Amino acid sequence: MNSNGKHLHFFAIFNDAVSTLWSIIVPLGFGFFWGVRHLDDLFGYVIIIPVIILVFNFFKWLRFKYEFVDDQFHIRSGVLVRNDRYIRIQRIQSVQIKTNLLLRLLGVVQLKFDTADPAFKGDIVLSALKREEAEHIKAQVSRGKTQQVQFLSEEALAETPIVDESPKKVYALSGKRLLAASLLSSKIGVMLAAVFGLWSQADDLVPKSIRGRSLSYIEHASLVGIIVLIGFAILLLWLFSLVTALFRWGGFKFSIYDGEWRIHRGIVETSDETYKKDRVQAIRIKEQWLLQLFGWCTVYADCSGSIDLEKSDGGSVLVFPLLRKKELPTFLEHAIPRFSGPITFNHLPVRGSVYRMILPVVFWTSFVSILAWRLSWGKYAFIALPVIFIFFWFSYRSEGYSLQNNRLIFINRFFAKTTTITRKNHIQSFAKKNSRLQRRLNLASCSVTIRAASGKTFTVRQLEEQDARAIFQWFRTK
Amino acid sequence: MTHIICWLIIGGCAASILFLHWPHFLFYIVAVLATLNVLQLILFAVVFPKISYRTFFYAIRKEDLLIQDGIIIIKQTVIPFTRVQNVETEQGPLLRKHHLTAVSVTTAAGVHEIPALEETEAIALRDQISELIKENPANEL
Repeated sequence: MNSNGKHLHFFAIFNDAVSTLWSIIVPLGFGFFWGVRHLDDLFGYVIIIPVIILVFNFFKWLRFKYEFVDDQFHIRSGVLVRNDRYIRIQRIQSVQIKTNLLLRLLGVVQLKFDTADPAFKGDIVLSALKREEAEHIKAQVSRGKTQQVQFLSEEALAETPIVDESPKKVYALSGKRLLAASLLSSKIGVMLAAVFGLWSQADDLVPKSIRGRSLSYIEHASLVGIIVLIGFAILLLWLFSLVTALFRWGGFKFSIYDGEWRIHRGIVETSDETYKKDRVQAIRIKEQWLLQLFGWCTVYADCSGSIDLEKSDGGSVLVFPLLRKKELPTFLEHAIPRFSGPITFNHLPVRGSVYRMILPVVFWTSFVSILAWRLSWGKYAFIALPVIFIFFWFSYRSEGYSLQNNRLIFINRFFAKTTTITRKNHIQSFAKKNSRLQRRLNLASCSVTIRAASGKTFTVRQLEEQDARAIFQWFRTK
Repeated sequence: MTHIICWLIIGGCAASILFLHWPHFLFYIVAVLATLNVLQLILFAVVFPKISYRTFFYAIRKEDLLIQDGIIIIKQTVIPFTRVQNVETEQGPLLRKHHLTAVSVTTAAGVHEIPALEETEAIALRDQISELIKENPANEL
């Protein structure tokens, strides 16, 4: 399966240029606004920069070539530092095809290979391809892989694996759920931060004549007026984040195939991702407060190998945004049988929670005391103290762990309750920790490290010493 | 290294208070910082090494490597040989002078280090671990 060296679609030049420009302009933009007012010459430089980037990207495109060589995929790249990268097709974990609005107008897609390489080595991305070409590559990669498997197990050739191309089960995010998911998990904090950032720059952006008027209006407005204004702004922000969440999760479809998952999502910017089931190292079930109140949960998976860090949530794959808690066992049963099973948990000892309370109690009491000492309204902060303590107490009490055959379940809570399910054969290393005081109280903390996009550690604190030892033994014996 | 930087900052502040007429209350802050720094120096140079020397041990067992370390919080780590990807030995000039070697074990999720062993012991350990890795090849994924 050889092929000649091929260029990317011509549009790749502009696509890369735009993304480079974007990453430069956004941080420097405000600086330029500030600078331009003082130095008119700077305008010239501002115009030159995109041209330089465009020329550079042209050479990059000229140099970038990909081809199939025997059972390897060969990529040549790099303008100044030349780079040849050979990837064994066998080692390509999955192929992902993505588009965004700009690409879609031209009928062009992005193709990305997942390999077992650690994340820092960089992803293998073909940034612009015709759709047919991308499908062709995808087909060729999957054909190469099955050929290899057959080659490896020739005696098993009698029963040729029937490639079943229809999904075993499809979970789609219905309209109602999409709305609920967007409503419950819109990221208002990020939005607020963005607006405050803009507001601080507003002086520079808004012309003086308008600014005088708008600001004087705010100065003269009554307190109620300002509150209404802020409330309105928050509502607007929330609506905006709702819409972005709708676009991001619209058309979410999770299909289960024989050995892999396919996740499709997005309305304007669609992405099709494929994940091998055997790459999954742990399943995380996250229940935000609001979600928990209504009996919903979100399912994540931690996979080994390279993961698109931008698109996923902290290196984990979003498996399904919103699922009823009682649907979860059947969902796991279908999606990934080896992680499924009853999710029970053992409570942690009460004295462990008391021990853990020491830190927040000391911290918040001293913090509030300082407030009361320095500020006139500080003494009212003492009212918040019991609330904080109750919050910590209950969040500590809801943690737990459980051990079932080869499955280890940790339940943690900070704000959201997170249930982590992993298996013995996915745990890379195991650590048991305790301080002198903990030993006196017969308590210990356990943490397991698994191999995700970057090593990920899950910890459960203040177990009974003998339980910790039991997990220790469980991990040691095969 | 951070220690030296700390002293530089403290010295700089003290000098500016004396010569540049900075507000005088800063002096107390500088004094507190200096005390803390001295305390840290004593702890890390005299007290902690003794304790960590006493708590540290490693053991090679049938299927895994056990490392215990820590000063206040004692931590025991188990690394099964099936998960080990490679073993490294490292020797800086100071360690070389005293015929010591550091051994580190890499898994897919991180590096675990045994900071200083006798040279011969370190090499024996490295060979032993690499032999054990060979027997059960890490499951590749």
